[in-house]
Amino acid sequence: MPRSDGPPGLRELQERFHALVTAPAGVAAALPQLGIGIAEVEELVQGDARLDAVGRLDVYANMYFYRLLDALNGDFPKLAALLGEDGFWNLITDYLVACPSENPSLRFAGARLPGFVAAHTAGRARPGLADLARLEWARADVFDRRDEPALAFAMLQRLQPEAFAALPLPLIAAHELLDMEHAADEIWRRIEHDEDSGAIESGPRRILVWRQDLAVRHRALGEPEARLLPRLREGKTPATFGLLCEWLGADLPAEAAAAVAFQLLGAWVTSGLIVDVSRV
Amino acid sequence: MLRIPFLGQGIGLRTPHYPRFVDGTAGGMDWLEVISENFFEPGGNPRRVLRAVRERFPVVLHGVALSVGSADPLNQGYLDQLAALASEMEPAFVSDHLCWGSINGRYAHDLLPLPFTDEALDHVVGRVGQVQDRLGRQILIENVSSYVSFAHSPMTEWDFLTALAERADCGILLDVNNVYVSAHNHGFDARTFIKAMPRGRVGQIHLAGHSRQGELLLDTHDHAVPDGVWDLYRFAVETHGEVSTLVEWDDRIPDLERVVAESQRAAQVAALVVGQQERAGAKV
Repeated sequence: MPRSDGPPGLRELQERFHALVTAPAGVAAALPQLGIGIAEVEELVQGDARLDAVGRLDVYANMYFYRLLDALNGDFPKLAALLGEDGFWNLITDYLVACPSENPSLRFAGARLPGFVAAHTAGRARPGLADLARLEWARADVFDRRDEPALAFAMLQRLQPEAFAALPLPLIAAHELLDMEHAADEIWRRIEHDEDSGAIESGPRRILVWRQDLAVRHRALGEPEARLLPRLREGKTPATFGLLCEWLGADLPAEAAAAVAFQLLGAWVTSGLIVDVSRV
Repeated sequence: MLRIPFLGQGIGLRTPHYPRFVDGTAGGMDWLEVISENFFEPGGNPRRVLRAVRERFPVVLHGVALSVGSADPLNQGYLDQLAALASEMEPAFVSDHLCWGSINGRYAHDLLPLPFTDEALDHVVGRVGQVQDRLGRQILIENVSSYVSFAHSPMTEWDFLTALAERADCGILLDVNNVYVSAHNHGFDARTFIKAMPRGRVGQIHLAGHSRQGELLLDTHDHAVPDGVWDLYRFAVETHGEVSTLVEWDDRIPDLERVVAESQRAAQVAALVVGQQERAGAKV
């Protein structure tokens, strides 16, 4: 960081200040790395007999780290539990260096953590850790997506049988579909219930994460739901119940396809996954 | 001319108290302040609670991430979200802090101090003007607690804030606890700060608790309002009259009744001061 003559301008001052208070090991440790001497710090910031300039900057450095650590702990509680206090601390220290927050809201501070975990030594050493982080981020992410009226059984009961084929099946915005290599949902469940989190079965799976009213939920999908739910999201206009029957009809006789389609529709309505377009 | 409604005494809306606002059992306060950014996202529980609150109480939007002092351009996406929220909630005030929190697009999620220079003043005046133009209303700017002062900072904080308010034609959110904390940390006289605030521009007052860390005070909002801050609040009311006052309690948050009781104490203190002033005026 080059020194210039005279007091720094606003941008230069803020760049120096930010570099110092976001350094991973505190201000004093950052000085040699940033090429800043104590004298330069004292030309920037005033200390006094009670606390020197570096000590005062460290107040901000500590607040920066703990504020983000707390926020990320709130969004990734199972990841934090699995790694333990020291492991999570180390992960977040590395994460904040590699992926500093680029959004005004703390809510998005963890957006890049799942990808970071996948490449981090902690993630490479522990299969399923990155998938668990993806699951937790998806849960945090659907928490405050927009509200929409969900299709209710009462509306289906009013529908004439011949109208079912044209029933649109748009999925609510507050959902995510995650393709995973590991059983992150099982890891999540075991931590939630204080069970041993070792020896988790591996194998790819598709997990649905969604918010029903105010509760965030997730579950692993079986066939044919895992195959069909993503297809509901394709196309500019929502797929219809008739189209769902057609998709199922590719592998099943028409009557069996319709029966499975009704089962799926029942499960989705029970879960509040389908938007009631008549109330939008 | 600044429009300053008097709202009475309020509290900050915080997550542990959400159920009380949803079930309708919350009461005893005149208004609520919400952290703007916590309600930017369009759905789920936060917005639902805020709508329930807004049906019963005046609401004030208080931001922590405008970063009005940053050398970066203003974040237009942020302003769009703030404008949309303000349009829906019709808040009595919109406020943020005299600080910066981001540079080169990276956010510290903190209220970082500014140097009190002509360059910084010109910069912040222009940016407050941009925000007010975008929102179509005047905003309040709050003094922050600080733990450093800059070696090159030729103005006092109170002169800087006064000049900002007058040149940008904005209001001031006078955080009495922040004045107390910064006065201790930098060794200035807190009453000088409060006395210097321009008359008619203090739209709102914040009160809160703080903590001691070594020789410094930290603005932690995790205690009841301490005696020293109450004394300073009395002085603020003597100087600026009765102003909408809020008690902030953001960490180790007690039950709602305790927070409301603290805000009602603010109303009692203000009423006492105003009553004394009226009696003194009547004798003259």
